[in-house]
Amino acid sequence: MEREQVVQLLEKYWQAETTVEEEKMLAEYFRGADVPLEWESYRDIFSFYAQEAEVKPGKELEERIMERVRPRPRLGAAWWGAAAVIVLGLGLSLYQRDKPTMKDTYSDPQQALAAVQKALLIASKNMNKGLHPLK
Amino acid sequence: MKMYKKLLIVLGLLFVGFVSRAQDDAIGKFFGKYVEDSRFSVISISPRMFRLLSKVRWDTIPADIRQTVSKLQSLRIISTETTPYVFYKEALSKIDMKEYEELITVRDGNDNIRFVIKENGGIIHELLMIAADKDGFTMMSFVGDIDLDKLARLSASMDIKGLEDLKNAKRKNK
Repeated sequence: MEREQVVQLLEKYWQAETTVEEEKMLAEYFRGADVPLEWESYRDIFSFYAQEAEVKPGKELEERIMERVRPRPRLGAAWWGAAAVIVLGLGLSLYQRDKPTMKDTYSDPQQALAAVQKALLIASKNMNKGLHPLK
Repeated sequence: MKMYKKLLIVLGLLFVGFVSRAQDDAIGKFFGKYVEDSRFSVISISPRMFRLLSKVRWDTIPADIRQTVSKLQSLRIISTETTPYVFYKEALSKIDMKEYEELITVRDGNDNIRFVIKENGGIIHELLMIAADKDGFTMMSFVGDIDLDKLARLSASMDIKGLEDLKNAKRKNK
């Protein structure tokens, strides 16, 4: 490759405009023996790239990946089902506790008090009835 | 996997049991069954409402009643005029006598009254009255800290001797 061409390609290269082929040409050139001294640093750069391209994943990499993706013991469907039943049960029991049995009949405390008073008197009267069957 | 399925069924049954236990007391069962039944009239006063009662005018309320009410937590009443004796019997059959202690029973031609209590460490937490005559059936549950003497005294204006007799009745019961 002519010096002129190399200069052009390098310029393009640093603009990141070189094609794959052109980069290959550059790499090949700097691998060659007749690289001027001023371009010695370029030679290092391109030989570094070449070296890095040679790096192959070690054997342990595959092992490490397989370790990561190995199926783990998981909660079975039955356990999820059981969990769902538990949640449902708790929910239902809470729901039932507040359900119809304890819905307030009165919203006015005064009326509620009147009802309580009446109930107490009925209970009291019945109590005394039990203690005085002949009266 | 088969074992898991069995486990699931067992757990499921356990929780169905647990849930239905929540309403297993006599009055809860009875209320639960008839609360939506149009033949019954229902009165429920929740602990929340009992707390609100402190805000109403009490001047006209006799002191005895004031004291009794202030110790109550909830009140439930269910009553009907339909086939009173049938419901009386059904209600009695639903009371778990392991939980309740019999207090007073009246049985004559007309009246059927049963008082049972739930007691713990000398304090009566629930008083349950089940009553039926030819006109109707009533079930009342008072929950709170219940003083039987005081309760009997509430109608003492009608019957001053009630108090003494109740004391005797309690002694007999123990």
